[in-house]
Amino acid sequence: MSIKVRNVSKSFGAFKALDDVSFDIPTGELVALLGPSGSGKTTLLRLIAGLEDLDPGAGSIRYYEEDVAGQPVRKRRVGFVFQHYALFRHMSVFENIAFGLRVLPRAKRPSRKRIRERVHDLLGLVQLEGMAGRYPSQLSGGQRQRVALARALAVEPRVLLLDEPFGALDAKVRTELRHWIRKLHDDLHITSVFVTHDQEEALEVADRVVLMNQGRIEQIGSPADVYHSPQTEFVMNFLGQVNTFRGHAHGRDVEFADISVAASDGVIRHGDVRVFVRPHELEVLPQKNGKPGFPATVLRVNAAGAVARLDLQLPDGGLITAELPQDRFARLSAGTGEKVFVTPHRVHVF
Amino acid sequence: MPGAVALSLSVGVRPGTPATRDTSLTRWVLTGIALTFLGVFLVLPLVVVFTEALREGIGVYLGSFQDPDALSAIRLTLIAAGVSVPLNVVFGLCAAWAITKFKFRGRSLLVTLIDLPFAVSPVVAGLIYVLVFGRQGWLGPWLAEHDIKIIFAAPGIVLATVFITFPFVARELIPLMEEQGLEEEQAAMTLGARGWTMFRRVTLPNIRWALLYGVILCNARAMGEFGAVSVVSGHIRGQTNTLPLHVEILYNEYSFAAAFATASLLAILAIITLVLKTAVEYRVRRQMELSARLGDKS
Amino acid sequence: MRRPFKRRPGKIPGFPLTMGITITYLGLIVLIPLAGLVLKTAQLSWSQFWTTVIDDRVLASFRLSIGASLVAATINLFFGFIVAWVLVRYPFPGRKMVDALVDLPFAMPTAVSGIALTALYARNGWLGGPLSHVGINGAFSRFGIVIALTFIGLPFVVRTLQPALADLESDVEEAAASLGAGRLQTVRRVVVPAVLPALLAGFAMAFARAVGEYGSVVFISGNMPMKTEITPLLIVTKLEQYDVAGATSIALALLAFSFVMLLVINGIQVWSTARTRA
Repeated sequence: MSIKVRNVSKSFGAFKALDDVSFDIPTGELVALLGPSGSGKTTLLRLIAGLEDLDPGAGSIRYYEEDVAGQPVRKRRVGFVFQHYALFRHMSVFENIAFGLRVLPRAKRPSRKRIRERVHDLLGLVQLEGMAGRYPSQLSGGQRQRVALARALAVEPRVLLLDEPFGALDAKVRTELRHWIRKLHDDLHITSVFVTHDQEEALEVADRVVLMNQGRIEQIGSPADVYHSPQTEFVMNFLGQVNTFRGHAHGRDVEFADISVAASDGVIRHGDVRVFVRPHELEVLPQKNGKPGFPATVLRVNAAGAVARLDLQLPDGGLITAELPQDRFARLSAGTGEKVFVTPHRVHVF
Repeated sequence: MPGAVALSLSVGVRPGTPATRDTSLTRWVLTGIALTFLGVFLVLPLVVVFTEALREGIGVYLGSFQDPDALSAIRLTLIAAGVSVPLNVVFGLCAAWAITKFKFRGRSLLVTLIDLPFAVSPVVAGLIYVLVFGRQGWLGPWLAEHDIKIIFAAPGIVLATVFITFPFVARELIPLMEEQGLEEEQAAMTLGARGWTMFRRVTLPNIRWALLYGVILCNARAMGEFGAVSVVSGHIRGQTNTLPLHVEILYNEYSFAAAFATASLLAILAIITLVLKTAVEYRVRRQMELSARLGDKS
Repeated sequence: MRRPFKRRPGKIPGFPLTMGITITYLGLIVLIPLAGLVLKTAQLSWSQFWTTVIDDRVLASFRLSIGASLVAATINLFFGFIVAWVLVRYPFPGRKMVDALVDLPFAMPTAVSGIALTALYARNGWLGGPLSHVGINGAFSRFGIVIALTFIGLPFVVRTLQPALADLESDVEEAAASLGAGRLQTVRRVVVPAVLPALLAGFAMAFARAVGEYGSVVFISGNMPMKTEITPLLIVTKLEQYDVAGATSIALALLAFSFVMLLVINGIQVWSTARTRA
């Protein structure tokens, strides 16, 4: 484990930004801190970097078993990529990338020649050869982002920390850069942590996702884990769309919308519960087929895209959404206003 | 442009993060240096004015203001400010309106020209009026013929004061009105307001604090101007002396207590100016930020 | 009919009226009198102008005015940076009052500052006394001139630097720290270069203002020809001796200097916006 965060809390005045947070960052992994704004993810990243102070006595952060409490950011050898890049605008791309090498104490500072070589290697790595003499104001957003990354990598950081690395870019550049960063990570294997509020981004890029909400960690796991087996209502709601029903639990089964089915986790419960079903976990049939299900009316169909989306109205007036593959949808051939039969094949209760 | 910065607003303190925060030793040392420097260069002179003024007792202090020459200096100072402030307010409003609501060739040249009086040495400012209205000046013979006195008389003093305080109001209004743009006026016009009504009900409320700010600075400078006024005044006691000139005369006559007493009056004016300025500044900044924010959204 | 304005016709009224007032007033108060100065000098022969301007006493005054102003602006550059830094970065009790006080040299009539500084630095003054013990003549010397010019120039440096320092995003400093730079390295390599345009502009403004300054200097300078006589004072002296031609020639030189400084300062501002536009 390269970084261990243990029982970390952090308050800004009366606001509790982080509340008893513990997790590990395994060496060489790419970890996403995912959560809505105000969830504490950026604070956590800044604490790991040393850009914020730990509240005294409120937990510890270890780098390769070394407690870094009180160690200033410049001693930690972290590469930090800022949300708005924080490039030095009076310096050229070359000077920006060389900065970390030039401020090393004389004994450790590489020769000018060595610095030049290193910067040019990095420029090659981030595919900005020939841009060394440009100034930040002459670069596009994506290029600035890559300069910021090269600058952070120049000091051979023990861990690379990225704060909303794609946040300030437009949609197309975002997707490109996302794939590129994943590939870069696969080549370099630097332990990396990035903060994002975009679930799609986290699920697509990261090896491991840390889901945060209101200063606490909700769930940690692989993208597939957290998506398919959410452990809390928050995670269920935050990762993708979900239909919610009011229901009642009896042992392993839950009763809702006139049907009774087993909850996915097999836990025994009693009393009123909320029942969650993802749109793709709903089967839509022309009529009843023997499985537990309930009738609904098609309100609207959107067949554009990889899956067809159906907005359905329940007899009690409630609205739900179902997604089904295009071939299934074609077989169903249901238009607006038609009656259908809905069967959930996976039901989540927390 | 020299002087332009006089109008820029001071800014609030920014809290640091661990990486940008200085050690407490650095903080103490730098704060100590800054406060000592300001103490020696700004506070001590201010304190000296009052101690010197009161050196010979409160009686002498108050007596200095009974002097008819002092009273006439006060009167002339008030006249100079009373004329130049309204004139420059009207000019400032017109210039800011023309410059910010319309695009035309030579706009930035005009802005630079308005700043010109800030760049000119006060002595040169006085001299140019001597060259126009003085006995050997362009209009000198004609003025003498018609027995009109401008130089070495009150009109010259007023003119020099107008010149020196010329840019103050315009400079405050231009950036703010630039930021506010045209939309509100255009909206007012679509609602049927025109001309004067629109200006009075839409524009003026939007710029009132900046206008007041400009007036405060303009007035302070008008009452305190020395160099330019000194060149055109002729230093005739009881007739062409403003308060600052009266200070000079008393000082040169070694009436130090009286000189400093008069000076203390002007120092109090300066302190009042600073207090008012600080109070209004906050509102100007808020108005500016508000306009900037609204501008971003549109 | 020609339109009086371009591109943004809109329907906003008042352009002819406000523009008319602006141009007329600007012309009457500023441009025509200033042009008068230039025309007046043009009436002199070149040699008349030249002999006036390269007269020893005049040259000595230029040297003094420019030299003392440079020294004062440099002092302000250094201390102004510290003052601005402290005011922007450190919250301390009374900060707002100190901040307001910085404008005192703008608000205080120069004659008042002049006699106050003289009283302070004269041999029997609070600071002049101790200074004379170490062999420095506070008032009536070049030292005094520098003091007065420092006083007058301070707000220029502080007020141009404050917004520049406040606008400096903290992430830039954090970036420097994360790359291993110490505090001093960060200030030297990142902060100072970033606010360099503001520093230069403040310096140039303080310098330009100091060269033309009159009121706060005449009392403390002692006004000895060749030694402590500043250029603006020399203009006044010549005028009082009815040497209008002499006064005008020197004034023109001073005016030309002001224009150059105006251009320099505008140039710095243009450079600064071009550099930071991103």
